[in-house]
Amino acid sequence: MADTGIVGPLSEIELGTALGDGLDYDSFGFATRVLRTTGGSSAAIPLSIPSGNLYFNCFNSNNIPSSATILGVEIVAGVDFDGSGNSSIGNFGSTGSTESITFRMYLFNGTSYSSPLAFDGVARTGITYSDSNTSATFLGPNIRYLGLNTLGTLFGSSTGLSGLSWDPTAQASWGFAITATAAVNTPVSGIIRGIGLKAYYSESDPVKLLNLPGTSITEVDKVPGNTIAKWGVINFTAAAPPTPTLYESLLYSYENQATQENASSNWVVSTPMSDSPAWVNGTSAVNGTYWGLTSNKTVKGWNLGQDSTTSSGTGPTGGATLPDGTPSTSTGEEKYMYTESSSGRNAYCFVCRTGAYNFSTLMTSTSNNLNLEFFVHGYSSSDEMGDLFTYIATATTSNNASATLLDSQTSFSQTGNSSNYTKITVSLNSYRTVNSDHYIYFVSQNGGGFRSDLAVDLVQIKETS
Amino acid sequence: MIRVKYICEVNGYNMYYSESGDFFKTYFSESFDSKDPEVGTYSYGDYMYTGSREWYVADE
Repeated sequence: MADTGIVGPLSEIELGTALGDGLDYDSFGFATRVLRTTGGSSAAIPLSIPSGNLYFNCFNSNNIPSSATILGVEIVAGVDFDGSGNSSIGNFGSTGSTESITFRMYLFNGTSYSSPLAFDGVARTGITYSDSNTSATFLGPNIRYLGLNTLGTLFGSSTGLSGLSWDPTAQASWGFAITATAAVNTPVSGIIRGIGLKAYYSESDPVKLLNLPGTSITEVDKVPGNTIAKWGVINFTAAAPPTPTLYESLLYSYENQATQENASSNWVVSTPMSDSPAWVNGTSAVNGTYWGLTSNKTVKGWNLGQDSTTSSGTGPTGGATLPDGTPSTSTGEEKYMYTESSSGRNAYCFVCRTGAYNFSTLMTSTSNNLNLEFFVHGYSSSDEMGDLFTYIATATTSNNASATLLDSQTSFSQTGNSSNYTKITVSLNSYRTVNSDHYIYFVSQNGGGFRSDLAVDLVQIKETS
Repeated sequence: MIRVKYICEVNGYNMYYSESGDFFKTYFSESFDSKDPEVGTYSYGDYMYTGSREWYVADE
């Protein structure tokens, strides 16, 4: 808990009818003597009944931080602000023994006055309390409420606002009022400078990042570069956590698969492409006898090529390499899957599918982009290359009627065996949030002759932010 | 590296020394129908052999 200390008023004003109690208060005589900036003579004296003044501008506009929680405000008697003595309320020495005066005090919050505040009710010689201790009558000379040798809280509380509300923007308007409501004869009484307000408050704990209202910041740990040094006024002393790893399937390069270039045979899927999720090649991937795209063609599995295909004037010279699809005959790069079209197989429909992918559970975030990437090579010196169709389905076997066509490649840019492969990117965003296994189907058909060896390599599914 | 003529014949793809025309080897065995339009097609290129693997790269 913090407090302002005793802060005396800078301003005063005659109360008039401000209290709304039916009385019209005149100003105390020498009212400005109570202001904290006044020196010398220190007593403000009621010259008539009723008299009353509001003393305000104790706090400035930001004594109490706007973010603080106000706890209470007291009216406190302290040492005269010019250091010349103690403050007090009561009768001075020249008051006659039968003369008396009655005082009341109030708090003011800028717009409202509190009810009359209660004196402590402690029995003191010459002081009589009434109206539930909210009025104190001082009889005789040198009768003071506190003051002289005793300083401290006159009214109010460190834990309450005496029924008033707190508006931090109006704190400079807070003040206290003192009234003299009755007198017997002509006592010499008043208030001696040194009285002020004291506010108690608690300051909020520093805002914790994780406790921000509304949790509007959720991805501070995903700042690009992964090195947050300063954010607003907050300095970070350590590197941010690493960026979450985005999903990537295996990069299927076919390098560990056994070559199968006989037109009458199919690539036999083996590790790692037989691992879960396993690829399936040929009729085992088809639901029914035919794939059924435009016509019913005999289904065949894809072949597995290494370096050039057997036929002249078609096929790549080797496997695709990153990043631009350059064909390679180097060990570990020279293989690919393709449609061996010799011996009339160009009339067939080549089908294979990938393993299962439930993107909704595999992805780091389904709000990221998801793509299928692969490279294709479609060189035919006799311009009889077939087409490549890419489908997606949730079934382990499928066909044209039940699978969804994702992409069609019906013309190819390759002008020779050694031409680079073409990279194909197909969006899978429509399937990111579907909580099911999905399978990608590669289907090729429509080759015009034996020079329609179409190759596919470097297949991968990738999540990108 | 050996310069070869690479030609499809009914028994598969055979290689002949390009300069002499002498038979070099059968590179890929597969039965082709004699009426298959692929039979008789050929290219010239380089035959390479590293001891553990062999491959052919056609001229372009």
